[in-house]
Amino acid sequence: MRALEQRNDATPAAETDQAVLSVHGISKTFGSVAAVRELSFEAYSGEIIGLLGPNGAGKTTAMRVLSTLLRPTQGSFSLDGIPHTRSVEIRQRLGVLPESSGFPKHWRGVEYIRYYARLYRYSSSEANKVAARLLSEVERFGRAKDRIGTYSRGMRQRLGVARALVNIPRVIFLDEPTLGLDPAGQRQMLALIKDVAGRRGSTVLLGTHFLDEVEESCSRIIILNHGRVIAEGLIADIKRKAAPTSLRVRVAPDRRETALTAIEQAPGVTAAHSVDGKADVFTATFDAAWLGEHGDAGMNSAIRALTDANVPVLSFELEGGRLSDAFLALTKEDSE
Amino acid sequence: MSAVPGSGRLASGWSVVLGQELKDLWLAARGQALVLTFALLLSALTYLAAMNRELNLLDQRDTVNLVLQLTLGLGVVLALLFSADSLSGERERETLETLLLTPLTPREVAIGKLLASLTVWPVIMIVAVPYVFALRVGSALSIESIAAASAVGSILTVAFASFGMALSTVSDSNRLSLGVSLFAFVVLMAPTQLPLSGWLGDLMVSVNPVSAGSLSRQDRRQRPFVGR
Repeated sequence: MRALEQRNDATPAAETDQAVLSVHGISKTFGSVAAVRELSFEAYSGEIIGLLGPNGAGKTTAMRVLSTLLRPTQGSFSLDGIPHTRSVEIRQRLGVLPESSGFPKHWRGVEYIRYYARLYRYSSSEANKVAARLLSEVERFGRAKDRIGTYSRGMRQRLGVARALVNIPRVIFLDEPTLGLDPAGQRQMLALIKDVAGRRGSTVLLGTHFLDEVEESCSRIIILNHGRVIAEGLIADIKRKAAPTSLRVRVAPDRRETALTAIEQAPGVTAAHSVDGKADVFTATFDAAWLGEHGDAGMNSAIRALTDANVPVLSFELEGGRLSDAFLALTKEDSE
Repeated sequence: MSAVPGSGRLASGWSVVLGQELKDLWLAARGQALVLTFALLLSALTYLAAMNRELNLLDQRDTVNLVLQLTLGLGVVLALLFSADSLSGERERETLETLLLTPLTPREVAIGKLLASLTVWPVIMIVAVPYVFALRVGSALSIESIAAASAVGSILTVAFASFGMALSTVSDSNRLSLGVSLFAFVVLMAPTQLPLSGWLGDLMVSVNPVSAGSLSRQDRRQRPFVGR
């Protein structure tokens, strides 16, 4: 166990800022259907990267290619500097929780982890220690010796994560890890994922449809649509570019002309107009670069402009700027 | 693959798979129920043959032959079905992917599972041997013929289990893999139960592994007594 930790810690990627996972132009086609097209990105130690996309976007295929289950039709990738052609060595450093991961229901939880530890070439006594340690860290419901068939969905997912951590992986792929979990289970799973990335320094690639959990846990995202990357980068940047934040403000009807002029002249505002024919409700759209520089607090400039012009503000709310808005805008734009 | 250094002895990948498969097969209810059912079947057969001679239409030698034929057929078909289920079953239960995500090569997984399914034959044979010995008392049946049955059974088990494994590897559906395996077994078994004659009959018997094995075993049975 310690030997594996030492070996993984001694890799060049851990010592430098070198990417742990480097993906260069990966494509995967099935007959005439291109499931993944020209996927390229780099992932660094301790990062949690969200892999997003509508159904059939190619997320699962991308993960299956990167976990060496499928051969890329084109392109290459390396993990810890090991080229994808050395698949056994890649898998030695990889942990995966597939989307539809079955479990042998008649096995006990501890027996399951011990078996996988043995498959990762731990000796019998080491496998026992690994199973005990992982289950105490990850399982936390004291049912390691019960049959897996009696576990709830959440318990099985946690067991799956424990299995994915058996080899102290450099990179972990989690495909829909919170699917089917109740809100408490989702929260626990996200905490576990953050712990894996933060404390262990593993790189996590999180494939999910739940954008709230991506915003909560990921540092960067990659959005796929029709197998192609349509956006990649920091969440804040993508939100600003794809779903600019706007401000909806309601003022006293008799001051609407003054209000509109004041908002239009406020710093950072690119456009202002009344909404749905309501003369007393205005929407102000901000310049993305300006907001990037000043942050969301920059939108206070519009309020300041209104109060400076002695316009009473009756209501004030932010619109857009959410990851879901950006996601929908990007995927819709790409489909059109 | 670089093995992880540790304090204990490291096992090869296929042997870990084999160990777990053996545990699943023989320590779980499936294997024990199988052995018990087979033993009960042979017990009933032996009882009828030994205790109720008036009602027994087969002579002693034919009864022993029947037991050996039953053992061979059951051993082969079970090994075939277990191996046919091994990979396609895991695929259907969605447990194969996680196995293939380990550093094991697909070949190591297949070897471990194939070897586990082959153990059906020796276990079935071990269960049958005491009954065969009990039934052969007083007959001119040679030990050599029992050894020949074991050898033929071993060869047929390896051949059929390998066939089942090949089917299981390519089949996405467990039902398809098991169905085709069983169909192939029945088709190959049929000539042993049919009155084939002439050069075509001889040819069919000779090229068919089941009928050829059965014929070889029966030839052995005709040999002079060398046992007790």
